[in-house]
Amino acid sequence: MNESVNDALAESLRAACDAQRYPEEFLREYEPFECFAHNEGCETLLVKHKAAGLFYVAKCYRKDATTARALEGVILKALSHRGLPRFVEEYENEYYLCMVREYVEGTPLDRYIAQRKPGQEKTVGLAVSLCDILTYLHSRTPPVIHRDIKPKNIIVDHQGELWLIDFGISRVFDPNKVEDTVSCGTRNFSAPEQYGYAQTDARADVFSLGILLGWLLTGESNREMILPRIVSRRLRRIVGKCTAFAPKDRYATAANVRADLLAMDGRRQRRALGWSCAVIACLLCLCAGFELGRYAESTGLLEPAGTAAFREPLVEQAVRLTLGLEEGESVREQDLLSVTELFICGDQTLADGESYNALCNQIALKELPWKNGGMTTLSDLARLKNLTTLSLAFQDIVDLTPLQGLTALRNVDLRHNPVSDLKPLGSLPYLSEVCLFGTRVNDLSPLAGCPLLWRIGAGGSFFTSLNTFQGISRLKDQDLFKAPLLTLRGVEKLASLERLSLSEVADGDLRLLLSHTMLKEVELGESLRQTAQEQMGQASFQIIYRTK
Amino acid sequence: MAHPPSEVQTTLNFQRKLLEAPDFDAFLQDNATQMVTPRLCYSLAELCREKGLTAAQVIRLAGLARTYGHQIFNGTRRPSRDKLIQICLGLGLDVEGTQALLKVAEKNPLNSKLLRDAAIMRCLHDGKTVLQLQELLNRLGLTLLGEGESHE
Repeated sequence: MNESVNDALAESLRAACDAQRYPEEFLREYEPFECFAHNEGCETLLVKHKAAGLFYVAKCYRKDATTARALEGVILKALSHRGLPRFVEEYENEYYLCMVREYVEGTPLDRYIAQRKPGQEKTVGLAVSLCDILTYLHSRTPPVIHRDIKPKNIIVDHQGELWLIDFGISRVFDPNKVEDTVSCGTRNFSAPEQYGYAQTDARADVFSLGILLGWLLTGESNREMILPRIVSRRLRRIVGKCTAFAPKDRYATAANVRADLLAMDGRRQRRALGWSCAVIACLLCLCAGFELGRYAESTGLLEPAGTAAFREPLVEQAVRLTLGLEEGESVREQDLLSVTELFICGDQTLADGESYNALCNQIALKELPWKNGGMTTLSDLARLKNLTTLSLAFQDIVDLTPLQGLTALRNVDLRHNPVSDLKPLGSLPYLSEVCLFGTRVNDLSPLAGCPLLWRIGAGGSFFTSLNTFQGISRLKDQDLFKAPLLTLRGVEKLASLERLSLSEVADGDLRLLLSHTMLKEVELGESLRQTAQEQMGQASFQIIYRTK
Repeated sequence: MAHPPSEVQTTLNFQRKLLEAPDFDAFLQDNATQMVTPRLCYSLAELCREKGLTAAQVIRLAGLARTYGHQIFNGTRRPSRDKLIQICLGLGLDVEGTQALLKVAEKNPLNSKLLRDAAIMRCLHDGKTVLQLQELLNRLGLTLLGEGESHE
């Protein structure tokens, strides 16, 4: 191409785009990449952070449009939940307010459902996840009402987790207001009061939640069409109660909906369990009868052998594997004390740490498909009093309380579990290594009580600064790969740190590492290579670059 | 540890299941995620015929790796938005034709308000080559086609 023509073309394009008047600062940091959606008041863009090469979403609100509501940033800024995109930054000039937030890779629920029809169990699971997010929102003070819950605003990410996006018309509930001024939302999915006859509160979201559940079950979004088509009586009742016309007739909170959904699940399981128990009891009686008939003179025949029962089949499988039991051989209660290590990754149990790590890595690198093991409780582990190593990846564990009394624990790996509260680990005297990759933890202060803790893997998590690590005095090895760090300030306070991994530092300043005297090795994401080469020419530690 | 099955094995396995499935419609519904939407490769085949080009020629003009390109044309791989735009340039499509193909592939349309999209539209309009577009993007200090695809 002719050089000068090209220059002229570039100039004219640039001039045309400057006329779009996005804030200068915003364009300096981010390159607009694709436009997801636009209306007269707001454009939703996919943008790329120029320095880091990472993608974000920018909502650019035009200031001259009467319908534009730029509250989204204010609301999002105050929220922190696994199912809500993180607020990043806001830019403003006289024409635009641009709010940058985390980009959630995944599929919107409408497309997701078009691709695979979920069964009732999965559907209830999706609704429960949404209840969790709404419960979080509604329990803020003041409560946050989303007001636009619909399939397009729900993303299922590659791990199958649910995200609620687009707080464009959400609001903070003001108890002094009688009615909302702007009618908004999406027909069918919005509660009737959103059209303006009363102020909306959390129950407006409960209404939309009900329609959404109905839509998942029937493919319809009109209340009158949904109800007659729901096969399960119980689900029909739940959807009916969520979507009652008068807010006072609905569930008061999303937490109540969740409880009813789960109770339904529990009841089904209990019923099934009841039947199998009855059948087993009958068989046992029969056998006992035969045995008694044959050996009537001997005593203690019906003495139980002290067989251990498990709530989670995966735990039983892993225990059997470590004990080397044959199929059909039962696990005795006293055997549980010999179990010192458990390795479970998704739906597989493994014999040792090496094969466990290998499998986890293959999944992380997407060489193998992600498979959730579906474990929800750790209650079985409370009896493994001598457990020193617990490796449990890709489950649905939230509550760590059963680990509280396992004082022998040294190594705990909970990667890709929705755990957020680490308090139960706080009193473990020998805890040395913790892996929290892909969990929801953002507070490490409970671990300050673990004097031997020296390694924390906290990549792919929500940590934005190093402050929360300061209480851990012997921390030597810290992995924060794929954690959204804003700055490395505070690194000097981690006096024992020898090894550090990271891939994102929003302020781009790596020089703080240079003054750290203990550091031996720093592992950096490929995207930081150039910054590192510019800033850390004479580092006393080794620098390694990592691509994945 | 067991190795993940090779692509050939999975395909053979899939084919066996397909032929054994009692209800074809149900099978399609159950396995929709494993199949690439066929509409894009029909459209591509149709466009090749219209323009009198072979897939191999288009792939070369689009500057795509040969295997990758053929996977897109035979429907075994979903292209990223950038790769699809390269194909549009290779096919010599105009802006309108490109928008239509992006729609078939369920990608965001080009938007002239965004500098990068505007540059792409201009090159499509002027019938430029992939290389010429890359040169222009480079001059504008923007991400080259295919360079920023971590989001795909």
